[in-house]
This record gives sequence, structure tokens and C-alpha cells, in this order.
Amino acid sequence: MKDSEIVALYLERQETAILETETKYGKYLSTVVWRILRDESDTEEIVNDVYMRAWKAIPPTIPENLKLFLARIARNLSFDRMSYRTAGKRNAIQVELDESVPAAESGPEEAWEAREIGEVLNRFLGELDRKTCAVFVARYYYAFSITELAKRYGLSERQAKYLLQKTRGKLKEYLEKAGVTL
Amino acid sequence: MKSDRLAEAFQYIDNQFLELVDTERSRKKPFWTYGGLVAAGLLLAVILFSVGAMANNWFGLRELLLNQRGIDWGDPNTRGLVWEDLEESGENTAGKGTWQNDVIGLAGAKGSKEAMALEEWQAFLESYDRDGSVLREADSDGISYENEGLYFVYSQEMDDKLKEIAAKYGLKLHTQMDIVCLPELAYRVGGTFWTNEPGPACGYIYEDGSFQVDLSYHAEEGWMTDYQLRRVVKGTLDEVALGIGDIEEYEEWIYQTRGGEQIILAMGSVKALILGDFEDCFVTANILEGTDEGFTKEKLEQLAAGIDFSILKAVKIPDMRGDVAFEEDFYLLQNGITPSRYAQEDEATAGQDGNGQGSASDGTDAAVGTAYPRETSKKGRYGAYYALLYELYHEKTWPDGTKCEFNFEGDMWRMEDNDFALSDVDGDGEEELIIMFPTSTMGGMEGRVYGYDAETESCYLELQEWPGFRFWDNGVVEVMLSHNHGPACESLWPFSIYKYDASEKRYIYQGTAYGFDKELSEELSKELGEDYTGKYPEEVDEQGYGTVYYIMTDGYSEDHPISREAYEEWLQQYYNGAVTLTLPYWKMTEQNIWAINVYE
Repeated sequence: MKDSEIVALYLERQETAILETETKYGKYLSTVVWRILRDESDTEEIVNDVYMRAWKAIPPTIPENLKLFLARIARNLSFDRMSYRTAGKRNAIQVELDESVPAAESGPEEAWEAREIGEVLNRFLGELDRKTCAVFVARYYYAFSITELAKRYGLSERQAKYLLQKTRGKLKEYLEKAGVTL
Repeated sequence: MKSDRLAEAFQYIDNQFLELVDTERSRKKPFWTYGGLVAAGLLLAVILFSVGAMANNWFGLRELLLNQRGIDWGDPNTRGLVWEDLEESGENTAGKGTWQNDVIGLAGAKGSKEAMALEEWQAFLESYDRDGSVLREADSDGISYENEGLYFVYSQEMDDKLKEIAAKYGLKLHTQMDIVCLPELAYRVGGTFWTNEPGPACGYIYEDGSFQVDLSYHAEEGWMTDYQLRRVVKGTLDEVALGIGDIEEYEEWIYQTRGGEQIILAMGSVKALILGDFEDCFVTANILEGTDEGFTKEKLEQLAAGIDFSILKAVKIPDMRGDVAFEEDFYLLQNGITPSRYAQEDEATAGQDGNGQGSASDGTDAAVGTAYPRETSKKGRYGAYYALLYELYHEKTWPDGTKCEFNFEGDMWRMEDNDFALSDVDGDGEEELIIMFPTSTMGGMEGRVYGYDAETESCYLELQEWPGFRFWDNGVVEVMLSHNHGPACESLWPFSIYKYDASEKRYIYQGTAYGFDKELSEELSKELGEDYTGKYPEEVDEQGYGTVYYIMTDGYSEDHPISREAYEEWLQQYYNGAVTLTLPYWKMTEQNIWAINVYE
């Protein structure tokens, strides 16, 4: 079934919308979630939550890209669950992103909102070459492991790590130049 | 934590970037959607030429295919390199099924007399002496055949067959082969055919100009790869074929070089190829890695761009002046000086290799003509570096007057087995002299970094350590330790970090890192006779990675293990986005030392 037809089911409040979503994107969403949580039962639970969230969000939201819309929900719920599970302990993604935190500011600036930082992040990503961008986003948005990145993008693991490290450094410089305060 | 806010910001990434995660994954694509670094103009040229290529029947791998062969791992009669390698390794191959190993010829495209002759010769070799009985007899009969040594011939029957095939197709047979160093090869081929410094290399060349050489490609971005370059001159029977695995998995495309030559690039999972069919020769580059190892189409094109095919395709008859395997011999010959080892070739008999090299008896190499003076008119930094290296080479003495522990017993080492480089490794804007001196006992091996003081007109020592340097572009150097005296760790060989201090003009020690793998604690206990099981500090390894680390700054101590996160935090303060430097090391030959005099 086409995405537009599935979205139409949501708008018409037909419960088959969830069934159709599961049929078309169930496996994909499971992969997105599992990659972050690495746990079968949590994955199943979160994917079901994704369907419920989508049901509540559409309408009023009418997603232009249903797959990415669902992936966003899945990702956010997964990271929330991870934070809960690890009781605030930092995960590998957060540890790596430490390198991209701009140097300490001199004055008492107010921290930027995540959405504002997101806008700067998008401008930064737009300046990367496609492959680097894909690898960077796959790691820090979808939480691909280094091994998965290497296989997916035809790199050795060492090359993948090097690419990420280099890009984290560039992001830090970019955020500093943009005057981002965290 | 601030990085949490940053991680949170990732949820606002635009869809266009999320889509790249899928679209940029490595897979076969029609070339007209091929992205990467190809400029629009060149991409258009590739499209146009590929259309033209189809019209003109350009060759591809299939045009070079000799046979498609599935290697039966359980069949002891299976020929080929795969089986021989397995026999040597002792690997148990029972039940492993078949492995596809298609073989291509490297002499020319299908239909050419060179390709047909090769195919016939290879077919003969496949069927001949399958039980090895003739070879076993040949090993002990002491008989030589006319083409033995230049071809895979060890019986009269083989020799006759080779000549028969050559005559059938009107081809010559090779008559001479010399071992050559890279500068000698360039001289014989008619010019430098590479644009990226490949480092020292050795190969061989035939009387018709056919040659093969093993090279390394060092990219400016820091990656490197090894490859074999072979040129087969048309008109001669060349017997070399190449196993390429499964031909079906290769992606091929036409590439136009800067010189306008049309060549084929082919990418497989374990190998990549560059193929050029020219009027007078056929050129192959066999890259020893493929997509499985992270080699990419962009890198393959970059490597292809680094080969000057205009030189290679213009075949000239080489000066077959014998083996010239050492670079210093080449430079002496070019200056009209006959290397002493050549003059002594008739005298020395026992223990010599094919190059006629005599064995050292007094710690120096067999007397190579000393064409280079101690004193030169070169002043400043490079004059000082020349003087330092001259003293080290001839007097085995460092600038502080101490003797280097050059191990010259028998002919184990030559000074030429050491390396030096000129490079700005400390970030002060000037080139330092880096010397890697492994020609000694374990305790005597060292690496040194010298700077130059213009005021005192002298060299000063910035770093003296074990010769296991990895320089970063932010003034940090990682130095591998000679031994691992610490706990066993598969993933980490202990290393020290030094950071350059511009005010002190030297590298300052920062600390040494060791690792401890939990799974090795049992093995370690057996090895050291000390109970390491139970000593693994679980409380430090909260995430359960199975490895803890030690950062030692004041001698060896296992008192303070740290977690992976703490270790990476310690590392990041030094690396912090820096990249490693690839230094252009030279062998410590007289010629290379002399070459410093031409530096500005």
C-alpha cells in the first residue's frame, strides 16, 4: 500500500492504518529500535508505542515522508527508554558527541534550545559530502554500530571510526563559529 | 551534560539527510547515478565514452577470461595458488565446498595472438604433470632447459611445447630478465610513470620492456594501498595469469586518464583492477584489496590517476645492463661510477645472491663507491642535517659524540636498512630530521627527532625513543613500547604519548597506556605463574567491555585501572580531531643523504 493511502487511513480514523503501517514498516521500525536498545522485548514494546504515537499524531500532523516520520518517533522513544534503562549513565553516542561540544564560553550566555541547535546542525550536515553525512547521521541519529557502518558503507571499521572522529571535530568548530551555547 | 543537549538536537535533522543513510550505502549502481568526487564534466565524459565503448566493443574482464574454475577444497589434484597456499598453511579444508576462482590473462584482449597463445599455454600447464612426478624428477636431475627460469618450464616436453606455441602465433620468447629498483625501472621504461611517491620498490624487467613491480600508493588523505603493476609488451609470449575470485561480483567502468587514455577499472570484494589495452602493450594494476577491506571506487580512480599511462604505453627497448636492485647503485651508475659490488662480482663466490652483493666484514656495506664528500657548500638547516647523517652513516656517531649501537655482526644489517625523513612533525613551521634506527640489538634500537637552531647553527635533540613513532599533526607523537611488560591485552599494544613544547623545544612525556583484557587473565596467570584470575577490576568496567586501562605517568603501576570511557577521555585531550602524518621516509643510503643538499 502506498504511503499516501496509509496516511489517508489515519486521517479517516480507520484502525487498519496501524495494521498497514505494521505490514509495511514493522520490520524497518524494529531494526531502528533494536539498533539503539539491543534488546528484543524492549524493541517490541517500543515499536508498539510507535504505532500508538503515530495514531495520536496523525492528524493533525500529515507527514510528507511517512517512513522517516515513523523513524523519528521510534528513535526518540528508543533514546528515552535507553536513558531510563541506564538510569542517566551516558551511552557511547553521548560520550562521542562530547568531542563536538563547543569550548567553554567566556560569558554567562543562555543555553540554546535543542531545536535551534538542530538548525545549525542541518546547515553543518549540508556542507558535508554525501557519504560522510550518511555515516555521521547513521551513527548519531540511528545509532548504527561501527561494524554496521563499515559494512553498510564499504569501509573498514578503522576508516569508519576515523571518519566519525574527523567529522565530530569539524562539528565542534562549526558550532563554535556559529556561537552555539550548550 | 552538554552533549545530551547536542544529542537531543539530532532529532531535528532534516529528512534529506536521513534519506542519505539509505541512498549512500555501498552497492552496485548504474554508473550514471554514481556520486562521490567525480566532477560533472568528467562524469559526462565517462557517460559519452561508455556509450562509444559499447559501440566499439571495448574489452572488459570477460574478454580476458581464461577459464572459470571452482576450486574444490577437498580435491588434492586441484591446481592453483589456492591449493598450494592451503597446503603450506596446513589448513583443514575438508567439507569447505568450492570456491570460485576465475582466471584472466594479462597479455591482451580476447582474440589477440598474445591472449590465444597464453590460453593455449595455460591449458597445457593445467593438464601436464598433474601428479607432480616430472617435477620431482626435475628437482634432482640437474638438467636445465633453454627457457627454464624465464618461463614455467622444467622438462624438455614443456620447453618444446612453449616454443611450438610461440611459433604458432608468431611470438618471441623472453631472453633476459633483470631485477631492478624503482629508479632503474623508470630509467629503463623511459620516465617516472607515477605521480605519487611510492617509496622504495623492487621489480623485474624483460628485454622487450615487459615488467612487473610491487608498489604502494600513499594518498594525501592518509590512506594507502599496495598493488602490483605489470606491463606486457605485445609480440612476446607472456605466461602470467591472475586469479580474481568470482568474476560475477566485479563492477567495471571506463575511466579516462588525464592523458586521454581509456582504461577499465574493476572493483571486486577482495581485489580491484586497472586494465589498459594499448597498441604496443597491455597494462594491469592488481590492487590487493577490495570492498571487503573498505577499498572504494573513488580510491581506485585516485590510484589510477596516479599512474602515467602516457609513459607506459610508449614502449622502448630497455637498457639491459644487468641487475640494479639497489638505489645507490643506480645513482652511481648514472654518475658514471661502477659500484664496487659489480667489480667484485667475479671474485666473490660463496654466499652471494644473484645481485652479486658481497658480505660485509667490517660493519660497512661492501665498498660502494664513495662519490660524496663530507664537506659541502650547503649551509643552514639542510647542511646541518646532511652533516649529521654523514657522520652517522660513515662514523656511526650521533651529534653528541656517542656511538650508535649499529649491529654489524656478519652481514645482518646495513646502514641502508635505517630510515630518515624530513618533515615538520612538531608544528613549528620548519622541517625536522627524523631518524629511525632499528639496525641494532633490542636495547640499541632508537628513533630520534632533531630540530635546527639557526642562531647556533646546530642540530638539537627533540625526542629520543624506541623507533615506533606515529606523529599527529598537532605536535603529539605516539611511541609504541618495545615490550609489553603489563597485563595481556589483544586490542592495545602499550604506547607512550609525547607532546611538543615550543618553549622547551622538545617533546614532553605525557604518560603510557596499557590495557588488560579480562578474557586473557587466565592465560596470563599461566604465563606469569601469578594468579590473575579474579584480579580483573570488574567495578571499574561498569559497561562490561571486558577491557580496562592504565595510564602510567610515573613508572609502571597497576594500582589505578580506569574504564574505557576514562581512557578515551584521556586520549581525546591529545588527539582532539588531529590526523596522523604520513612521513616520506628515505632509506639511509649515501645517495639519499646526498640528496638533502638539493633542498631549499
